Amino acid sequence: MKKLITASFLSVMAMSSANAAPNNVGCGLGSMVFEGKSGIPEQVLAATTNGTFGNQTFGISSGTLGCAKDGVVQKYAAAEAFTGANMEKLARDMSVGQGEALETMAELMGIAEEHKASFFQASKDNFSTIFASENVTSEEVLTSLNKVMASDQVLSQYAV
Amino acid sequence: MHGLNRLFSLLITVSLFLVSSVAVSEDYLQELVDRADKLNLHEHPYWFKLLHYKPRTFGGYRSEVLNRNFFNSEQGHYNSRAELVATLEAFFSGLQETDDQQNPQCRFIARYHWLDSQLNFDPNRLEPRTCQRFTDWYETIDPHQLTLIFPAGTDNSPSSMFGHTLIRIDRKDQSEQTRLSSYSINFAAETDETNGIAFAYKGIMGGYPGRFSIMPYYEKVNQYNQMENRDIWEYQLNFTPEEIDRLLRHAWEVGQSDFAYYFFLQNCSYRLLELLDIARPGMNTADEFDWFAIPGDTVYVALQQEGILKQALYRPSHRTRLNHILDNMSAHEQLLVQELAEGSRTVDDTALLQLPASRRALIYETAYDFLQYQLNSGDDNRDAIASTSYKLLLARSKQDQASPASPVPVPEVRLDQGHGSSRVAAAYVNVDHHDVLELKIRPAYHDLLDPRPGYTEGAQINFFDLTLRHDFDQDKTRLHALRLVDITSLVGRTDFFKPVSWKFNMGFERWPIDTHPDERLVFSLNAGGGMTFSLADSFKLFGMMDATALGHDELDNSVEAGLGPNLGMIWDPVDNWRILAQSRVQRFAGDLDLTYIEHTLAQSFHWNRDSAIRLEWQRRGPEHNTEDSLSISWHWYLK
Repeated sequence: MKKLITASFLSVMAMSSANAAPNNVGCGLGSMVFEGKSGIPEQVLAATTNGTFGNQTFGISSGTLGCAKDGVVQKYAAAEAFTGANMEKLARDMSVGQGEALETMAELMGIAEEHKASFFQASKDNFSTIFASENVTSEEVLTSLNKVMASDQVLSQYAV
Repeated sequence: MHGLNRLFSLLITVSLFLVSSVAVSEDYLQELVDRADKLNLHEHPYWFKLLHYKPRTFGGYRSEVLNRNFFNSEQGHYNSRAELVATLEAFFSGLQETDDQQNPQCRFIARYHWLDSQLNFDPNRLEPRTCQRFTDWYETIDPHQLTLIFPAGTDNSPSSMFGHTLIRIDRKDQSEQTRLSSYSINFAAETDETNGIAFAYKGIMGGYPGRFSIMPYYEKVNQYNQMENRDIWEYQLNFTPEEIDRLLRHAWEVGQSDFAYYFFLQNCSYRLLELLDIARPGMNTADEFDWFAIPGDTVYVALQQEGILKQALYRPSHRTRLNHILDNMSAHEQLLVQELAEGSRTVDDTALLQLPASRRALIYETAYDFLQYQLNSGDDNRDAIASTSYKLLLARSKQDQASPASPVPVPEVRLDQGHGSSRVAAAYVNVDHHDVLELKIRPAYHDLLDPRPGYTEGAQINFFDLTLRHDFDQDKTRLHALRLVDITSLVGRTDFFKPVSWKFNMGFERWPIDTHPDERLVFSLNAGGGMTFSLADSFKLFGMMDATALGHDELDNSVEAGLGPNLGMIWDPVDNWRILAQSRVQRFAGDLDLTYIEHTLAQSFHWNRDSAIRLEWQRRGPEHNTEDSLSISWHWYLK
């Protein structure tokens, strides 16, 4: 009986499963659209939860690591990091011409309030250029977006 | 020669100066220590907060921080005065900041600021250091407002059954639309453990260190809203700039430190309350929790602070939003969404082209969202999903329409406004004509008959549910049941979502293992899986296959196994009235050789979130020797 108690107590908690993820240095480059978050099933026994997760989780005051310094993404890499982590949302918002991810992207690219509408419209009109296929990487998306902006009268000032 | 002389005298001057400055700083250090002693700073509650001191069971204090390098003194983790003296001394250090090291004034920046506010450091006698790394970090975060983030629990992931809390630090000049790029501070158990059993055991017993980390808020939204389909509540809090700075300085200071992590108390929510308590010196919310810190209760306690809440915003999960859109579509439109998603209909199909442009746009969006849901649910057919998703977005980009999707209605009751998660109940029970008084205590958290507002529909999660019975006829009090864990998930299936219903429970119960029903205390382990169908919003049917293992000393130390069906229905005639009927049959072959049956008809009525009344009839026992019981009970819920 004791064995049964111990074994079952452990087994129920087995469902809690492992929490942690490695502290990857994710600056967003190289991630492909529609990758899924590889094997984190939402169903029974889903495992991630309250632990650390994601590829941009850093220790506070941990020094410099890739594009992050002491836990925060350095300003020059903020838009890249965001794109890498939000490709599917960004693609959706660009095709619709509105949305939270697109608003945030505009903010990270420093686009002024009065130019946001042009930015949204340009991303929608040029969706097929910015997302050239279902296999684009975040780097390619940013390069294409930059080109689109460079050739736009209003937005060229924001192109790098 | 002359030159050498000058060099010599210069050297002497310099060393004299060094000696005297050491002497000066020693004088000043002594002066500061004396003043600190006079003010009794080492016993100041805020100094204890900064060091994370907690009273020990047999007197004295000890810090909950595990690392030695969090302290300047060898005795810093239990001797608050030694730590104070050593900290003041360390502030005189000339250590240069590099990527690997910091000057103590920067490394212990919260302590530095607090001691400065108490002792008014003289900048001429204690040189203030520039903390470039902290400043850069602070400026990147650009703190302006604190928002408490509360993702709902999910019973499909037991380590987050109760939900989770974290803090978001909002920047200036942000709109609600751009909060994704703010930073959030999170506390979690730190482990590479992939063995779930070991993780669970250690998580509960305190075998892992917990640590703070910082990440962009979009990472957390992606995790909770998208991946795990958990609704999020965001509570924007009223904190002054000085209070927010205190929190950030402390976060910086504890950033590399390990804490003991215990799943039930010293968990994410508890540590976050400590952070808020640091921000506002007079606030002591963490002290209100002694045994369990359930996220909903911690949020409730934090929001009890006068005027603390600016506004609460609701961020529905991906599935909640998808459900809402689908609910507002016609059956024809729903079918088109499904066919587009599975690829059996193309985006330029006539059935779609016939629709008004705005409906077409909505269908493209929704089919895309449904594919995203599948992708995030672990569907590994990436290439097919990617190809269809891409075509849908291309088609959507050609529709010159703003999104016709309506926002998800905000739930009337927030996650922090549900019933208290501890429950005490008293019942009068008539068992086969015996009068029995029943007392029940359940520290956490929610069962199917508890008031539903603020809790996840169809999820039952009970821990350490204790039932004592006093039999008046026999004048005997005894343990009737102790359910250690009891989880049930009954989520209705639809055309789009096909969740599995399941249950798991274990604990000690009275079981009829011989001719005297209800006599033996056995250890029981029960699990089942099946399906639930919502025939209407207020009516559900469920069916599961159910397996039980029983252990008892009188069973020769063997384990008895039983198997059988469990069928039931849940009906909510009105919002605060629920009726639950179910039948279970368990066939035990083996030595026990009996068929156990259990029929239950229960109803619960509540008129507020703190109390409910239940009426329950049950027939249970071995097939030919069942007994009936009728009980009326009163349930109190405590925060």
